[in-house]
Amino acid sequence: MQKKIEEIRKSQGKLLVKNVKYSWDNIPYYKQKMKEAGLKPEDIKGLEDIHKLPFLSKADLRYHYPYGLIATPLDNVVRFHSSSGTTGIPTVVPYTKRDIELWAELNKRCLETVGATHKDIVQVSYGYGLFTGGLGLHYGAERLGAAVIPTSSGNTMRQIKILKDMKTTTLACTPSYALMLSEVIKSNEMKVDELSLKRGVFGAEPWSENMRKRIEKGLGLEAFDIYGLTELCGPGVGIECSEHNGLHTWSDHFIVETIDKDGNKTDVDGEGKGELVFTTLQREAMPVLRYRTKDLSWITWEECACGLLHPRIGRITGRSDDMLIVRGVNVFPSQIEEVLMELKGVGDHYQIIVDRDILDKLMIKVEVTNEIFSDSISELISLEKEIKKRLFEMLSLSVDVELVEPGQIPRPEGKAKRVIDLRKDM
Amino acid sequence: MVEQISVFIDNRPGRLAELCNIIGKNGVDIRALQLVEAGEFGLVRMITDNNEKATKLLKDAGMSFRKGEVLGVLMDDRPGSMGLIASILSEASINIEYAYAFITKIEKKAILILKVSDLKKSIDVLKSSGVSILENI
Repeated sequence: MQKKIEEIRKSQGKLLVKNVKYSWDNIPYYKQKMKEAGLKPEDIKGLEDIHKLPFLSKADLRYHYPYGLIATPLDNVVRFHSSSGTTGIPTVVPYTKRDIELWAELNKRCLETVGATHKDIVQVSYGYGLFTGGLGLHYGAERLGAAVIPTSSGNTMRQIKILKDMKTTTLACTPSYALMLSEVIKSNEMKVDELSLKRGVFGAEPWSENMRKRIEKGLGLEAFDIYGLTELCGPGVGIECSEHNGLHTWSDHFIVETIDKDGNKTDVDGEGKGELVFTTLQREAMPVLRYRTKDLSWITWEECACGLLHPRIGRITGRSDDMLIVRGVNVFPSQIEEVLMELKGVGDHYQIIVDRDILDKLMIKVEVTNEIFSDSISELISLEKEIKKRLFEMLSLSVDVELVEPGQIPRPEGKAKRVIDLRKDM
Repeated sequence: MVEQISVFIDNRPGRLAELCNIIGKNGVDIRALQLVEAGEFGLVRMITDNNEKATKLLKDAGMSFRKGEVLGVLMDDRPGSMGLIASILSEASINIEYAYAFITKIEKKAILILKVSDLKKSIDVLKSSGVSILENI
C-alpha cells in the first residue's frame, strides 16, 4: 500500500513539474511571481519542491479580472463560471473543452464513489448558471449515463412533486436546501417511503453531523458531503465515500497541502492540519498553483476502508478569514459594513447574526442613532427597507434588518463583536 | 404648539419601564404618552412638564430621541368634539399624521395632540373656528 501511495505522489510530482512550466510559459503574472520568489521552472523537480512556489490568493484572481490569468488563447475557452456573492470584482474562471470534460469526469467519479450508476435518476437542484453547482453535477451525472433532471434551485413544491413522481434516486443540492425539502415534505404529511431516494450529494456550504442525521431521516437517503471551489473548477474536487470519514480528493487532478496562518507548510508527506491549499494538475485555461482556500481542515493519506487511495480531507471546520457562507453565498462582513457606511448615520454600531432555522438566516442589527432617528414610524420602516434593499443588491441574499436602541449591541472591551454565527452546533 | 419628545425603544419587556424610570425618578412628570410599536422596535411620544430636563436625562442615558412641535388642542369632553376638529382640518386639506387624546384635570375638558402636515395653517383654521390651541399642557 505504502508503495502505491509513493507512486501516486511521484506522478503528482511529474504533473506538477509540467504544470509549473506550462504556467511559467503561458501566464505572465505567474512568471513574474516566480521570478520575484527567485524561482525558475527547473527549480521545481518534484512534489518535494512545491513549498518553494508562491501562493495564489483570491485577491490575485480578482486583480486580474476578467482575462488576466488565462493561459490559453481566448478562442480555446468554451465556458466561464464565476464565484457567487462577491461584490465589485467577481472571480471569473475559464474552461477549455478539455477542462469541461475533465470536470465532468471528476463529478462522474464523485457520483460513482457514492454508489450511483447509469441506472440512477439524478435530480440536480443546485442553481444552474454562473454558479458551478448545477452544471458541474449535471455534466458528471450525464457522463455517468444516469438520467438527469435539471430542476435547478427553487420552486420547492415542484421539486417535491418531481422527487416523488419521477422516482428520483439521487439528489444533488446544498445541505440546507435538502433540509428544507425534508421539512416541507413533513409538513405536507407525505411519508418518506413515497420517495425513491437512495443518496444525496450535498455541498457548497459547511454542514455538520447533526444536520446529516436530520437530512438522512427526513429524506430517507444516505447523505454525502461534496467539496469544491469555483477557483479549482467547482464541485467535484472531493467526495465522501461510504465510510463518511473525510472526503477523497482526486490525486491525479489536485495536490492538496495544509498551511498555518503565517503560510508555513504544516503537512508532512501529505499529512497535516490547517488551511487547505490546492494546486491543479490538469487544468488548461486557468491552472492554479498553491491556491489558498482559507478553508480549515486536515488531510491524510491513511488507508481508507473503501479502498480508494486518493487522500482525504476532513469536513471543513472553519475559515482562516472572516468569510461567511450563507445559503451557499460567500459573504464578507466588510461587504455589509460597506453598505451600512454608505447610509448617513448608520454603520458605527451594527452586528451580523447568522442562524439556521431550516435555511440559513442572515440578520443585521443596526443601532438607531440620534442622527437617523425620526419621529415617523414610516421613515424608520423605510430605512429598514432601504438597508435590506442595498444589502440584497450587494449580496444577492435577502437579509433581515433590525433597528435597535443605541448601546444594545455589546461592546466587549470597547470593541463590538461584529459577527455571531449561531450555526456552529447545528 | 406643544413640545413633544419622541424616543426610539426596542420592543421588548422592560424597556418602557426603564424609560419611564429614567424620567420619573428624576422628578419630571410625564403629562401625556403614546407608545407605538412597529415590529422589532417601538416609539414613545411624550409630553413632560420639564422637557429640557427630560431630554438631558435621555441624552445621559444614551438614548435616541428627537424633540418636535405638535399641535395641542383643548376640546370639550363630549361625543363628537374630536370629529369636529378632524373635519375642520380635513376641509382645509390638512393631513393628520397621528393623534392621541387624554382627559385633563379641568372638568369636562380633554386634550387632543395632533401631528399635522401643516402646523401653521392648522392653527389658523382651528382658531378661526373658535378652537382653543394650547401652548403647554
